[in-house]
Amino acid sequence: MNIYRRELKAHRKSLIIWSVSMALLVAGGMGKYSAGMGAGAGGFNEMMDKMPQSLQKLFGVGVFDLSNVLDYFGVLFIYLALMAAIHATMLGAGIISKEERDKTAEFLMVKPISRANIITSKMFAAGTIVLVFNVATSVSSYAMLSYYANGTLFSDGLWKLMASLLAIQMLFLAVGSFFAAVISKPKLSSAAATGVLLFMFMLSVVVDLSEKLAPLRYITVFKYFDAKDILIEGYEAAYPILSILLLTVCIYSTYHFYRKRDLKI
Amino acid sequence: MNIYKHELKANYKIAFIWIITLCGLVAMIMAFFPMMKSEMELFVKMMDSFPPVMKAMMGIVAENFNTSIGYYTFAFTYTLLFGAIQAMNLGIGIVSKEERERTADFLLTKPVSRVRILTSKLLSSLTIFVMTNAVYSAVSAVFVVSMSDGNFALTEFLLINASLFFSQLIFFSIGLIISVLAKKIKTVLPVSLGLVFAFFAISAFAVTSADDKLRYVTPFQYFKTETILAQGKYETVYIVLGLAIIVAALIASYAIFKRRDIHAV
Repeated sequence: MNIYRRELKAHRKSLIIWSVSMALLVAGGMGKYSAGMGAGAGGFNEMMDKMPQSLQKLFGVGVFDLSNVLDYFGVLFIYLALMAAIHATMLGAGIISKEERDKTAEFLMVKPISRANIITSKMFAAGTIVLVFNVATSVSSYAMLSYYANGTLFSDGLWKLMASLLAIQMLFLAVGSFFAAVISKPKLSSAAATGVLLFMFMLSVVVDLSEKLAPLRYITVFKYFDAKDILIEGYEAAYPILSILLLTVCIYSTYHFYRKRDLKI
Repeated sequence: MNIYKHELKANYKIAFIWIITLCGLVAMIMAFFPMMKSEMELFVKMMDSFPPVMKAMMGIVAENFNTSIGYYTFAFTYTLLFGAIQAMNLGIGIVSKEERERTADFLLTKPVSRVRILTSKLLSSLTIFVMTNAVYSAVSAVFVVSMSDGNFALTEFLLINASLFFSQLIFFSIGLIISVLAKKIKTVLPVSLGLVFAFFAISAFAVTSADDKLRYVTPFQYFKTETILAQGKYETVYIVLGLAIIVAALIASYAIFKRRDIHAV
C-alpha cells in the first residue's frame, strides 16, 4: 500500500501535465470541426467515395462521414491513441526501472516485501494512473463533442472509443513493464519499448497502403482498436483474444523475469 | 576537443540506429509507390474539385501524389517525425546527462570553461546531424531518382531534404533550452516523445490550411513540402521564425548554463 501511494504521488505532476495536454489536443482537433466540415459536406463525402480504396483507407475518410461529429472524432482518435500509448509505455517501463535508474533499488529491496509484491503495487499504481488519464481524456472529449454535436447522438460511440483507448493504454503499459523487467539497463529498456511503439505506429500507417499487407494488422496494437472498425465496420473477434494474450504474456513475464533478475546497484 | 570526441563516441551507436531507422522507413514507404501510382492517376483527375480545407487536412496534394517526389513527401512526413525525435532526444539529453549520470562534478572540475563545454557538445551534436542527413539524403535520392521516370526535380528534392536538417536543429534547440531550464530531467524519452508527438498531432489534425495560425506553433509545419514543390522555395516567415527559435534558444542556453546551479553528488 505504501509503494502504491508513493508511486501515485511521484507521478502526480506528470499526470496533470499529460491530462491537460490531452484536453488541449482534443480541443485543438475538434476546433477544426466547425471550421471545416460542419456545413455542406455532403458533396464532399460523395467525392470521397470515388477515391481509390488504398487512399480511402490511408486517410480513413471513405468510411467516415466527416460531417458527423463522432466520425470526425474517429479520425482524431489515432492521434489520441498514439499519445496515450506513449504515456503508458513510458510509465510501464519507468515505474519498474526507475529504482535502478535513481539508485533507490537497494533502499526498496531491503524492505520486508517480496519482489512480486513490489511489482503488484507498482502495476496497480500504474493502472490507476492510466485510468485517471483515460477519465480525463474522456471528460474533455465528451465536453468538446457535446459542444459541437448540435443534438446528434454520440455518447455510445464515444464510450466505445474510450474503452478502446483504455485497452490500448493497458496493453502498452504491459509492454513497457515487460521490457523494463527483461532488460536490466534502465535506459535501454525504455528505448526498446519506444522502438516497439514506433514500429507498431509505422506499421499501422503502412498496413493501409495495400490490401496485401492486411495480415500484418495483427502485429500492431493500434489496429486492434481502429476507430473505423469500432464505429462502423464491426469488430473482429481475433483482436480482443490477441489483446488478452499479449497482456497475459507481458504481465506474466514481468513477474517472472523481475523476480530472478540481478539488480544493478 | 576531448569533450567533442567523447560525445561523438558516446552517441555514435544511437546515431547509427537512427540513421538505419530513417533510411529503412523511407525504403519501406517508397516500396509501395509503383502500386500507388496506377491508382493515383485515376484519382488525380477528380481531386482538383475538392474543397481546399480538406485537401490540406489530409496532406494530399492532387498534382503531386502520382510523381515519385510527390509520393516521397508523404514518406518524408514520417522521416521528419523520426528525425525530430532523434534531435529532441539529443537536445534534451546531451547537457542534462551529466547531472543525471552523476558525472557533472567530474566534468566541471576540469580546466575547461562552461562555455567551452557547451560549445563542444553543440558541435558534436551538429556533426551527428550532418552525418545523419548526409546518409539519409543519399539513400532517399536513390529511391526517388530510380522511381522518377526521367523528370526529377532536383532543387525541390534538395530543399525538402535540407528541411530535415533545419527541422532537426529547431527541435534540438527546443530540447536544449528545456533541459537547461528544467531543474532536473530524470528521463529523456518521456519528455521528448511527449513533446514531439504533441507537435506532430497538432500538425497532422489541427492545421487545415496554409494560413492557419496554428502553423506557428508546430515546427513540423515550418517547411511545408507542398509549398516547396509548388514554389521551389521555403516560406520566408517560417525560415525567420525557425532561425529566431534556434538563435534565441542557443543564446538563452549559454546564458543559463553559464551560471546554473549544478547538482553534484
